[in-house]
Amino acid sequence: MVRAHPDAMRPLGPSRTRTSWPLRRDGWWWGHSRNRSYVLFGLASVAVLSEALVILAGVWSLGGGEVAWDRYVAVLRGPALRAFHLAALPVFVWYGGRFLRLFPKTQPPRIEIGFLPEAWRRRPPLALLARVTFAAWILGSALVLVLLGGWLP
Amino acid sequence: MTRWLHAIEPLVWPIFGAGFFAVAFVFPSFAAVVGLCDLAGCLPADALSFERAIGFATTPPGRLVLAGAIVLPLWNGAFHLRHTAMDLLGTGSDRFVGPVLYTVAALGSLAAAAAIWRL
Repeated sequence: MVRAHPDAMRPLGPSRTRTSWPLRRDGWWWGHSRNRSYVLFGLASVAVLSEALVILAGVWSLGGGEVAWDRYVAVLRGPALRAFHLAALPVFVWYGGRFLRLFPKTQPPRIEIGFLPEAWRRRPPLALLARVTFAAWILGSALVLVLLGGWLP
Repeated sequence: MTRWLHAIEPLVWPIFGAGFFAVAFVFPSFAAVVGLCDLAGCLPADALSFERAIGFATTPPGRLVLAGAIVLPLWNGAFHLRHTAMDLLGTGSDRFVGPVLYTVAALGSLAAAAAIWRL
Protein backbone atom coordinates (compact mmCIF):
# COMPACT_ATOMS: atom_id res chain seq x y z
CA MET A 1 0.00 0.00 0.00
CA VAL A 2 1.38 3.39 -1.01
CA ARG A 3 0.80 6.14 1.53
CA ALA A 4 0.99 9.78 0.55
CA HIS A 5 3.26 12.01 2.52
CA PRO A 6 1.19 14.11 4.98
CA ASP A 7 2.65 17.30 3.48
CA ALA A 8 2.20 16.20 -0.14
CA MET A 9 -0.43 18.86 -0.81
CA ARG A 10 1.26 21.63 1.16
CA PRO A 11 1.87 24.71 -1.04
CA LEU A 12 5.50 25.34 -1.90
CA GLY A 13 5.30 28.92 -0.73
CA PRO A 14 2.85 31.51 0.54
CA SER A 15 -0.16 31.89 -1.76
CA ARG A 16 -0.62 35.05 -3.83
CA THR A 17 -4.09 35.68 -2.47
CA ARG A 18 -5.18 35.52 1.13
CA THR A 19 -7.28 32.45 1.86
CA SER A 20 -10.62 32.78 3.60
CA TRP A 21 -10.77 32.73 7.36
CA PRO A 22 -10.98 29.06 8.36
CA LEU A 23 -12.54 29.45 11.79
CA ARG A 24 -14.98 31.76 13.49
CA ARG A 25 -13.04 34.87 14.47
CA ASP A 26 -12.30 35.53 18.10
CA GLY A 27 -14.35 38.11 19.87
CA TRP A 28 -17.73 39.56 19.09
CA TRP A 29 -18.68 40.12 15.46
CA TRP A 30 -18.83 43.87 15.97
CA GLY A 31 -15.07 44.02 16.40
CA HIS A 32 -14.28 43.11 12.80
CA SER A 33 -15.40 45.55 10.10
CA ARG A 34 -16.12 42.90 7.43
CA ASN A 35 -17.93 40.66 9.88
CA ARG A 36 -19.84 43.69 11.10
CA SER A 37 -21.16 44.73 7.69
CA TYR A 38 -21.92 41.07 6.83
CA VAL A 39 -23.93 40.51 10.01
CA LEU A 40 -25.65 43.91 9.78
CA PHE A 41 -26.65 42.98 6.22
CA GLY A 42 -28.30 39.86 7.64
CA LEU A 43 -29.91 41.69 10.55
CA ALA A 44 -31.34 44.31 8.16
CA SER A 45 -33.65 41.56 6.95
CA VAL A 46 -35.68 42.17 10.14
CA ALA A 47 -36.64 45.53 8.59
CA VAL A 48 -37.32 43.78 5.27
CA LEU A 49 -39.66 41.27 6.89
CA SER A 50 -41.41 44.04 8.83
CA GLU A 51 -41.92 46.19 5.74
CA ALA A 52 -43.34 43.24 3.81
CA LEU A 53 -45.87 42.75 6.61
CA VAL A 54 -46.72 46.48 6.57
CA ILE A 55 -47.45 46.29 2.83
CA LEU A 56 -49.44 43.08 3.37
CA ALA A 57 -51.55 44.90 5.96
CA GLY A 58 -52.11 47.67 3.43
CA VAL A 59 -53.33 45.30 0.72
CA TRP A 60 -55.58 43.55 3.23
CA SER A 61 -57.04 46.92 4.30
CA LEU A 62 -57.55 47.90 0.69
CA GLY A 63 -59.76 44.86 0.23
CA GLY A 64 -61.77 45.88 3.28
CA GLY A 65 -63.04 49.08 1.66
CA GLU A 66 -62.42 52.78 2.03
CA VAL A 67 -62.88 52.97 5.79
CA ALA A 68 -60.34 50.19 6.41
CA TRP A 69 -57.90 51.83 4.00
CA ASP A 70 -58.22 55.23 5.68
CA ARG A 71 -57.58 53.55 9.03
CA TYR A 72 -54.45 51.95 7.57
CA VAL A 73 -53.19 55.28 6.21
CA ALA A 74 -53.79 56.83 9.65
CA VAL A 75 -51.65 54.07 11.22
CA LEU A 76 -48.98 54.70 8.57
CA ARG A 77 -48.97 58.35 9.63
CA GLY A 78 -48.77 57.44 13.32
CA PRO A 79 -45.51 57.96 15.21
CA ALA A 80 -44.50 54.29 15.33
CA LEU A 81 -44.66 53.56 11.60
CA ARG A 82 -43.44 57.05 10.73
CA ALA A 83 -40.31 56.48 12.84
CA PHE A 84 -39.93 52.98 11.41
CA HIS A 85 -40.02 54.24 7.82
CA LEU A 86 -37.63 57.11 8.49
CA ALA A 87 -35.17 54.68 10.08
CA ALA A 88 -35.75 51.96 7.49
CA LEU A 89 -35.21 54.20 4.46
CA PRO A 90 -31.37 54.32 4.71
CA VAL A 91 -31.38 50.65 5.71
CA PHE A 92 -33.26 49.67 2.53
CA VAL A 93 -30.99 51.82 0.36
CA TRP A 94 -27.92 50.21 1.92
CA TYR A 95 -29.43 46.71 1.77
CA GLY A 96 -30.35 47.01 -1.91
CA GLY A 97 -27.10 48.79 -2.79
CA ARG A 98 -24.98 46.14 -1.10
CA PHE A 99 -26.79 43.37 -2.94
CA LEU A 100 -26.53 45.12 -6.31
CA ARG A 101 -22.82 45.77 -5.70
CA LEU A 102 -22.34 42.03 -5.16
CA PHE A 103 -24.69 40.98 -7.96
CA PRO A 104 -22.34 41.38 -10.99
CA LYS A 105 -19.64 39.33 -9.25
CA THR A 106 -22.07 36.46 -8.71
CA GLN A 107 -22.87 36.10 -12.40
CA PRO A 108 -21.18 33.24 -14.27
CA PRO A 109 -18.46 34.35 -16.71
CA ARG A 110 -20.05 32.28 -19.46
CA ILE A 111 -23.42 30.65 -20.01
CA GLU A 112 -23.84 27.62 -22.25
CA ILE A 113 -27.06 28.20 -24.17
CA GLY A 114 -26.79 26.66 -27.60
CA PHE A 115 -28.85 29.07 -29.67
CA LEU A 116 -27.16 32.22 -28.35
CA PRO A 117 -24.42 33.78 -30.48
CA GLU A 118 -20.96 33.38 -29.00
CA ALA A 119 -20.63 37.03 -28.00
CA TRP A 120 -23.83 36.84 -25.94
CA ARG A 121 -22.67 33.82 -23.97
CA ARG A 122 -19.92 35.78 -22.27
CA ARG A 123 -20.58 37.97 -19.26
CA PRO A 124 -20.01 41.67 -19.98
CA PRO A 125 -17.00 43.20 -18.23
CA LEU A 126 -17.68 43.51 -14.50
CA ALA A 127 -17.21 47.29 -14.47
CA LEU A 128 -19.77 47.71 -17.26
CA LEU A 129 -22.22 45.29 -15.63
CA ALA A 130 -21.90 47.16 -12.33
CA ARG A 131 -22.57 50.51 -14.00
CA VAL A 132 -25.60 49.18 -15.86
CA THR A 133 -26.94 47.54 -12.68
CA PHE A 134 -26.65 50.76 -10.67
CA ALA A 135 -28.08 52.88 -13.48
CA ALA A 136 -31.07 50.51 -13.71
CA TRP A 137 -31.50 50.70 -9.93
CA ILE A 138 -31.48 54.50 -9.84
CA LEU A 139 -33.82 54.86 -12.82
CA GLY A 140 -36.13 52.07 -11.64
CA SER A 141 -36.30 53.45 -8.11
CA ALA A 142 -37.00 56.94 -9.43
CA LEU A 143 -39.83 55.55 -11.56
CA VAL A 144 -41.32 53.62 -8.60
CA LEU A 145 -41.00 56.75 -6.43
CA VAL A 146 -42.79 58.93 -8.98
CA LEU A 147 -45.55 56.36 -9.48
CA LEU A 148 -46.08 55.68 -5.77
CA GLY A 149 -45.96 59.35 -4.89
CA GLY A 150 -48.64 60.19 -7.39
CA TRP A 151 -46.53 62.67 -9.33
CA LEU A 152 -47.51 60.90 -12.54
CA PRO A 153 -51.19 60.68 -13.46
CA MET B 1 -37.67 19.41 10.51
CA THR B 2 -34.07 20.32 9.61
CA ARG B 3 -34.22 17.76 6.82
CA TRP B 4 -37.35 19.41 5.48
CA LEU B 5 -35.65 22.83 5.59
CA HIS B 6 -32.75 21.44 3.56
CA ALA B 7 -35.16 19.83 1.09
CA ILE B 8 -36.86 23.12 0.17
CA GLU B 9 -33.57 25.05 0.01
CA PRO B 10 -33.32 24.87 -3.84
CA LEU B 11 -36.81 26.39 -4.04
CA VAL B 12 -36.15 29.14 -1.51
CA TRP B 13 -32.76 30.15 -2.91
CA PRO B 14 -34.02 31.74 -6.19
CA ILE B 15 -36.87 33.44 -4.31
CA PHE B 16 -34.25 34.79 -1.91
CA GLY B 17 -32.30 36.24 -4.86
CA ALA B 18 -35.37 37.71 -6.51
CA GLY B 19 -36.37 39.17 -3.14
CA PHE B 20 -33.26 41.34 -3.13
CA PHE B 21 -34.40 42.94 -6.38
CA ALA B 22 -37.90 43.53 -5.01
CA VAL B 23 -36.46 45.12 -1.87
CA ALA B 24 -33.94 47.23 -3.79
CA PHE B 25 -36.44 48.59 -6.30
CA VAL B 26 -39.61 48.98 -4.22
CA PHE B 27 -38.85 49.37 -0.51
CA PRO B 28 -36.69 52.54 -0.54
CA SER B 29 -39.30 54.33 -2.64
CA PHE B 30 -42.18 53.08 -0.49
CA ALA B 31 -40.40 54.14 2.72
CA ALA B 32 -39.53 57.50 1.15
CA VAL B 33 -43.14 58.17 0.11
CA VAL B 34 -44.93 57.12 3.32
CA GLY B 35 -42.14 58.13 5.69
CA LEU B 36 -40.43 61.18 4.29
CA CYS B 37 -42.50 62.78 1.51
CA ASP B 38 -45.82 62.45 3.34
CA LEU B 39 -44.26 63.95 6.46
CA ALA B 40 -42.74 66.80 4.46
CA GLY B 41 -46.11 67.45 2.83
CA CYS B 42 -44.78 67.20 -0.70
CA LEU B 43 -47.22 64.49 -1.88
CA PRO B 44 -50.20 65.40 -4.07
CA ALA B 45 -53.46 65.46 -2.12
CA ASP B 46 -54.77 62.19 -3.55
CA ALA B 47 -51.46 60.29 -3.45
CA LEU B 48 -52.61 57.93 -0.66
CA SER B 49 -56.31 58.03 -1.52
CA PHE B 50 -58.43 54.88 -1.64
CA GLU B 51 -59.51 55.48 -5.25
CA ARG B 52 -55.95 55.74 -6.46
CA ALA B 53 -54.74 52.73 -4.48
CA ILE B 54 -57.62 50.47 -5.52
CA GLY B 55 -57.33 51.67 -9.11
CA PHE B 56 -53.74 50.44 -9.22
CA ALA B 57 -54.16 47.31 -7.12
CA THR B 58 -57.03 45.83 -9.12
CA THR B 59 -55.20 45.85 -12.46
CA PRO B 60 -53.34 42.64 -13.43
CA PRO B 61 -49.91 44.38 -13.35
CA GLY B 62 -50.84 45.95 -10.01
CA ARG B 63 -51.71 42.57 -8.50
CA LEU B 64 -48.46 41.14 -9.80
CA VAL B 65 -46.39 44.01 -8.38
CA LEU B 66 -48.11 43.77 -5.00
CA ALA B 67 -47.60 39.99 -4.86
CA GLY B 68 -43.92 40.45 -5.72
CA ALA B 69 -43.51 43.29 -3.22
CA ILE B 70 -44.84 41.12 -0.38
CA VAL B 71 -43.98 37.49 -1.08
CA LEU B 72 -40.41 37.89 -2.40
CA PRO B 73 -39.19 40.11 0.48
CA LEU B 74 -40.90 37.84 3.02
CA TRP B 75 -38.89 34.83 1.84
CA ASN B 76 -35.79 36.95 1.33
CA GLY B 77 -35.97 38.20 4.91
CA ALA B 78 -36.77 34.78 6.34
CA PHE B 79 -33.93 33.05 4.53
CA HIS B 80 -31.42 35.80 5.27
CA LEU B 81 -32.33 36.08 8.94
CA ARG B 82 -32.25 32.30 9.33
CA HIS B 83 -28.68 32.16 8.06
CA THR B 84 -27.66 35.16 10.16
CA ALA B 85 -29.05 33.39 13.22
CA MET B 86 -26.96 30.35 12.33
CA ASP B 87 -23.87 32.59 12.03
CA LEU B 88 -24.45 34.29 15.36
CA LEU B 89 -26.05 31.54 17.43
CA GLY B 90 -24.67 28.42 15.79
CA THR B 91 -26.33 25.85 13.56
CA GLY B 92 -28.21 24.40 16.52
CA SER B 93 -30.47 27.46 16.50
CA ASP B 94 -31.83 26.38 13.12
CA ARG B 95 -34.02 23.74 14.76
CA PHE B 96 -36.15 26.57 16.16
CA VAL B 97 -35.37 29.71 14.12
CA GLY B 98 -35.69 28.17 10.65
CA PRO B 99 -39.18 26.68 11.10
CA VAL B 100 -40.47 29.86 12.79
CA LEU B 101 -39.19 32.18 10.03
CA TYR B 102 -40.32 29.93 7.18
CA THR B 103 -43.74 29.58 8.82
CA VAL B 104 -44.01 33.38 8.98
CA ALA B 105 -43.00 33.63 5.31
CA ALA B 106 -45.40 30.85 4.24
CA LEU B 107 -48.36 32.24 6.21
CA GLY B 108 -47.56 35.74 4.97
CA SER B 109 -47.50 34.48 1.39
CA LEU B 110 -50.87 32.78 1.83
CA ALA B 111 -52.29 35.92 3.42
CA ALA B 112 -50.91 38.00 0.52
CA ALA B 113 -52.58 35.68 -1.99
CA ALA B 114 -55.87 35.95 -0.09
CA ALA B 115 -55.56 39.75 0.23
CA ILE B 116 -54.92 40.18 -3.48
CA TRP B 117 -57.70 37.73 -4.35
CA ARG B 118 -60.30 39.70 -2.35
CA LEU B 119 -59.47 43.04 -4.01
